Amino acid sequence: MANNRLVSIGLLLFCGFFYYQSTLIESKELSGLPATFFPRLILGIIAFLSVIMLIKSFFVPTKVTKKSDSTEGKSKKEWIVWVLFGLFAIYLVLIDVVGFITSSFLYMATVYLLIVQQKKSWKKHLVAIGGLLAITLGITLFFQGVLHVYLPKGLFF
Amino acid sequence: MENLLLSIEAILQWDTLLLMVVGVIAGIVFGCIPGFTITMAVALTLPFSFSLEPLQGISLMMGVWLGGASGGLISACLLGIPGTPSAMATTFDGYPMVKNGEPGRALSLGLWASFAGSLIGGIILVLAAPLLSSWAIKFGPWEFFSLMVFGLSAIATLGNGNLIKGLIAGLLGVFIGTFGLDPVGGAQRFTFGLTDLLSGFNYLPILIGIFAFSQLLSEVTKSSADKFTLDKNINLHYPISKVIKDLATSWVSVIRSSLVGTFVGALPGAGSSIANILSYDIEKKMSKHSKLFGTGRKEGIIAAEAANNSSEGGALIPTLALGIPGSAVTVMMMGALLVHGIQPGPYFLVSEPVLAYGIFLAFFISAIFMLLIQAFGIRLFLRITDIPMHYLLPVVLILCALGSFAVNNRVFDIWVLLIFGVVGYFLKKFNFTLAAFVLGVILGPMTEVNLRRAISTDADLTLFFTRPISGVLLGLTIASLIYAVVSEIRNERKLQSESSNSIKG
Repeated sequence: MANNRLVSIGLLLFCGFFYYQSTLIESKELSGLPATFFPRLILGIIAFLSVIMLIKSFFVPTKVTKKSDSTEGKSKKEWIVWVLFGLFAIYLVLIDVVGFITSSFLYMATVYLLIVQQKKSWKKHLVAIGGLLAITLGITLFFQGVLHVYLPKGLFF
Repeated sequence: MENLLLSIEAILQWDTLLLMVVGVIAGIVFGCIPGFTITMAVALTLPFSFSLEPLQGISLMMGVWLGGASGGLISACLLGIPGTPSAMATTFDGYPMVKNGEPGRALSLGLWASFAGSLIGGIILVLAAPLLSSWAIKFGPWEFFSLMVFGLSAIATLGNGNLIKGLIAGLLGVFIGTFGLDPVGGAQRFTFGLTDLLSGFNYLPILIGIFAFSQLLSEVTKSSADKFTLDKNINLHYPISKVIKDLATSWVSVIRSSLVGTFVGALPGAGSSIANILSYDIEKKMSKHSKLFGTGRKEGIIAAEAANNSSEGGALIPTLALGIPGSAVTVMMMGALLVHGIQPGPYFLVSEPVLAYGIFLAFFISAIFMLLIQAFGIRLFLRITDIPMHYLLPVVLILCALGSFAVNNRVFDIWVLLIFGVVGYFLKKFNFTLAAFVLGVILGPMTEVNLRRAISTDADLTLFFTRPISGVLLGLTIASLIYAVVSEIRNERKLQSESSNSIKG
């Protein structure tokens, strides 16, 4: 229920922010409805539903379930997801600087090392990372050669 | 007839057939790896379809879709965990049958029931889609607006059981669809000065972000203890004659489950997961041996598998005939057609008859490939479930990035992927319906255009209710909302009485 409360407040802030943004739209009412009508209508309904959800969060009980071991493990590991999102943002910045091949290889290798769960010898890691490099090159060749999608180039290639 | 012959000629090209084979293999692979979903597989197929002809692209996706639906049964039967959510009910009798020493029978029954379900769903698709589209061709902007409102409300109310969250998810999607230039007057909306946003968010990075990127990252949170291993030397042999005999003696179950699956699939938002569970439940209630369900009954496997595959034919009916996708996968198929400038809807079957017949044929041919490939390659697919996530995840994440980049050849779309990956992760974490959000993104702009077109034609708002079809559709919308509100109130009362009982206890 506390989650729903937070989500409702977040949604109301979202609606408020975009309602303000909608006042900046330069809309000419040529015929029928202005450009601001539809987004404002949608924001209004979202805000209304969020208020209902907020009110309900104080009165309606939720099913109380016993936390299993795996759920506890899951919450502990949730930080990895945020690290992966952050790494992906860095990867996107790097694409423009070092190009697709280098940045993708670095990203894949980092993700692999971050999520690999078994303890392995450095030789096995080296083989796996080598495989990821081969996959990067293979994907690049396939997209450029077969699908004619030209990938961003950076400082080197 | 001429159009049918032209589509047969187009679909029987060796490269189109090869794409279907590749699609079926990819679908089965994704289907049998627990944690990967069919929707994820189809989302990743999108970028490959851009450079292909529309029919080839759809054939590839069709292969992935049908392959994925049947691939889920491998881990459902052998591991007791569904490879995809749409194989949930398959585990109820599939896994016990394997435990009873009949793994070959469980897999063969599931596979052949999937095939039969696909055929029946496909036949209904071929018969129903032209009828529905010839009816919908008379629609004006009022009817289209009401139809889209109905589609959005249905997907929100049928979603994951939480009405308010389902509606909010759908409306958030509709709101995201308003970014960019206003479709009528050309005013800039929520562009924040970014030229890349003038045309709004492209929905393909959104689809990949919501269905593949965010889902994949949430897989990381699962520990290695969640992984299962299979006995690779398991005996999977079961003669075809016995499977056909099994199916023939349960022909009523096959037909009933396929009809249930097709009907559920045609409802916006209901999808193959609900079809799978509902059909199993109906079969159990109709059976004289209902108490034996869950112990390895063949009818249980048949009902679950025939329904999830036939639901795909059902989901294509509103997609092709009305332009309202019946499931997350058909949202993506619609997206692939839109990339090629083809608009599914009432005029689709008239304006693109060769493509429409080609899609029908691709459905049947993919079903045949699914049967053959899974029957002969089952041992190979068993080995694939062994590939650890730390090898798969980095590669699939990069494919997501590439898929988004390939839409317009710009890095901005990969940023869109990241943003909607985060949005998808939050939506899933807080139990919002992902399919409703995505359907909102796709249908939002069309809903707005039709609303504004209707009002600029005639400012009388009562026309939405007084025009017969529009009125009926809005009536259905209100009815589905009332039904959802009533069932939610009932659930809450039940919860309240349960919690007060537990306090007393």
